Amino acid sequence: MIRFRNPSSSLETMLAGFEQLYNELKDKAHFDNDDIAVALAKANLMASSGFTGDAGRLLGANKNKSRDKTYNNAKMFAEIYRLLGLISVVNHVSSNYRFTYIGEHMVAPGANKKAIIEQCVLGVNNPNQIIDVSYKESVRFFSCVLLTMNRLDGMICRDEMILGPMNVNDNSPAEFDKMIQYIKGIRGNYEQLQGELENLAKSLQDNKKEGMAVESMQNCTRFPISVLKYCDWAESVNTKIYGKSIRFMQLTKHGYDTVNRLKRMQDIRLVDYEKSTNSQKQAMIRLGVYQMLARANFNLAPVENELRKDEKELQDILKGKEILFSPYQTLELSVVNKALNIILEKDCNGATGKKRTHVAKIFAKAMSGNLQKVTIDKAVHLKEDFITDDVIAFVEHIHELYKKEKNIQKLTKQMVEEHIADKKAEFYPLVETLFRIIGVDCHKSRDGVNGERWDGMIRDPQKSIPIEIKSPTEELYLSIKAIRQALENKIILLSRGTYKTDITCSSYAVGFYLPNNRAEVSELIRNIKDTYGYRIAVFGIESLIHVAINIVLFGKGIDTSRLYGLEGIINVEDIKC
Amino acid sequence: MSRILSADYVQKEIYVLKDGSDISVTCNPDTTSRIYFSSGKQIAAGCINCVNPRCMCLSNEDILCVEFPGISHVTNKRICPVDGIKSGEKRIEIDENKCIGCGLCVASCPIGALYLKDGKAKVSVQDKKNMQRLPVNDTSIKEQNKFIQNIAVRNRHGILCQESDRLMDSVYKGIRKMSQGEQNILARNLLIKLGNHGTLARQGNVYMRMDGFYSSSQRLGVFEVETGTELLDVSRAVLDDVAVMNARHGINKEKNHPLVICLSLPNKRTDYWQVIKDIRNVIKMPICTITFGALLILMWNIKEIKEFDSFYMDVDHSSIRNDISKILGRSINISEGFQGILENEK
Repeated sequence: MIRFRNPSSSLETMLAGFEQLYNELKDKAHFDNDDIAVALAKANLMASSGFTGDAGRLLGANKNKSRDKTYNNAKMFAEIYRLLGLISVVNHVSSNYRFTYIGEHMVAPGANKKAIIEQCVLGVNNPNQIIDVSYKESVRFFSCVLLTMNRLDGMICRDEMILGPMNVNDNSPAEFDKMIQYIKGIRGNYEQLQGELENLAKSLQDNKKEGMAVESMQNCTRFPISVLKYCDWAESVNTKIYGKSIRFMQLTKHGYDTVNRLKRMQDIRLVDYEKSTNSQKQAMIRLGVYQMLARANFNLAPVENELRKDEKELQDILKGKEILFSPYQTLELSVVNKALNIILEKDCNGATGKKRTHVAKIFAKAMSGNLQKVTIDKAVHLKEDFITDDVIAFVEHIHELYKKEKNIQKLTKQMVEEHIADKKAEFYPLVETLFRIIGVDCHKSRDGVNGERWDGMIRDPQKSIPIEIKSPTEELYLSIKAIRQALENKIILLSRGTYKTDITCSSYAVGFYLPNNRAEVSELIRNIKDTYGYRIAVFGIESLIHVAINIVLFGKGIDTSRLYGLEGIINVEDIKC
Repeated sequence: MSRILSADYVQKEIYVLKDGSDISVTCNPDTTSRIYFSSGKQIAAGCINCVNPRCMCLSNEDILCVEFPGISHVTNKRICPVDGIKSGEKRIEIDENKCIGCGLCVASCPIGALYLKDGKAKVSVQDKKNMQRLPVNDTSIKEQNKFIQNIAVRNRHGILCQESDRLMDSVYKGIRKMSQGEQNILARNLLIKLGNHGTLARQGNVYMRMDGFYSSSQRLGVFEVETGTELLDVSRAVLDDVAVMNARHGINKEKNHPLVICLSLPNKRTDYWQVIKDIRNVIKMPICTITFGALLILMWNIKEIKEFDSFYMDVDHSSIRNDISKILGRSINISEGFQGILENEK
């Protein structure tokens, strides 16, 4: 059975660390788990006992590696990055890593990270030359899950995933069909589902012991399920297919689109690669890598001629289909890099030395050009350091709406109304984007980082501001609860020192509408100031959107230094442009 | 001319002790208490069927926290949180279907006429030869009241019951079934029975969101009751309470010793303990956490606890077993981690 150990509650969190990792370690010829731990601590991704950053890293450290939380945390991140082909091992030393060419594209300017990850997820396949695993299934797992769901009315539940895609050799069409019939035969009979699961558990080995707990098998589905959701391929629904309400994953439109695309692709596995000629192997690698990047919205114009030759080389194998092959997730790093003509120079200190072919250089440049164009045209009033993809999208949206509605009050109301049904996942990034447009370095917190109790943070070298955010689906009007949490955020930040701040600097609560019970909230804010000396400032989203619109359209910015000492319920007039 | 009519007394028989009110009481688990007179005589305790029974109703003094003047509070003075006790014609009556076996009524009877057996409160029947029956009229009621007032309430010995996992499990089941209001009453009354004054804040006052406050000769503070899993909300609520008390009622935060009363101590993995430490680090305010179970054990062992500083716990130390054991002078018969009463379950 395929085993995905539970690496993290959030793929997004894991990927947030990757950029930091790259920036810290890109110049090293190779790096190990300890290097990763230090880099992740800098990004506040290393949490222990409620502390993040270096304090968290040191608290988690232990001389015994198996008990060293810091080391194991870093190892866990590395395993996922390896699985996704973003890093790979060097010289067969299992903890000596280097970034892959695909990994480097994750941090390329303007890169659509999610689209790259989607390709990497489809690239996960077994067996391969780079990751030793105890299971024997020959499967391109996520492709198999999607194709299975497609055959099972677009749905699969956790236990079916175990009995089906996690236990099949999907490169045998007969075996795949048999598995589909097997699941169809179980459907509707909950007792049979449980019985099959128990039988399977008994037949497996776990850590060299006979038998595996059903719960352990079920834990192995946590990562794939989170991936299906992260890639927007599936969403959770409760259905009574088994008589009682059970959570299923249901294919989304994007999920079905991906299934249809997979059907048009030629899946190349290690066994196919190995029986090819040398020139076919080289062509497979180049075509595999570049087509992954093309599907992730990168522009292949700089390598077009070379790819045409490769397509010709492989025409008998591909038969006019697109290649589905992830070289970095199948072959050794050096083999892939050689085919891509990426030469790595090593020195004995493990320091830098990366020399690229002109092809790769041009490729990266083409991407950064796209981002710059948007920035220069429409975001002239924004601080360049704070521009993200979300900021660019929001700026473009304002311009779009402004073409039809010139009245700023009405435009603001219109944009506010667009967000009235926002859940956390939409509203928190909106707040981040608005503060970035206003001109401060705002970051929403990542899910699953216990040490960061706030929902967002305006990072500043001296006066960081924690933000408590309430999406309209949590509470339409901000309440006392948010004020209490803003106070707690301030105390925790001062105690744990995750980011530098001082007692004079505000703590924010941001919600959809300002509180209904304003007198009560204002009174509490005053009481907090009188008692503890901390300033709490409360924003409704309308104020922030209004300010953002004025900045984007007219360059009417605000004096951001005023933001650090705000207190009470903040109206548009208080931060007027 | 119409006039206000008085209701008939429920009681048909009321009593006082023949040998006077200079007594001490020794409580026993599972059986009737013994009353000792200063003369050396001893008798089995029995219900004297008070017209104003202490086992049912707190005194005004009990719920008066003079340090918190002018703060709106509830005037409810009932002892039994689930309303499982009432006056009868001849003696107090316990509704065993409602009784959860907390022992508040047992701890409140000045002559030890109630006891706990099999997780329920029981009433000892009068041995009439030791008692003087009084007619039920205004004069006799005054006489009975005076008799009760003259009994020194705290001259008790022994224990009300022996704690055990089984007993605690049964009481906790009862607490879990209570409404939030009943749980607050239980918390207040336990604080009172341990020698404090305790008051519940009036609900619905938008500027007063706390559950209650307590005071003793040594300490005063706000308290919050949480029997669910939202302990993190409680630490936030305490910060709110302390701010309101300071800014609106002049009780500064250095004087305020907040107390969190919960059913089970949060497990180590929750951030509650770290947040409690953060609050202490940054605003120098220790928030003490104690469970219903711990308060019950202390009350069952007839202890006075007028300050809760020794029950401060945070991420570095989250057990109160040793502290309570020290107070009792013996080990506690509750399994480690049981219901999170003395230490975390995990």
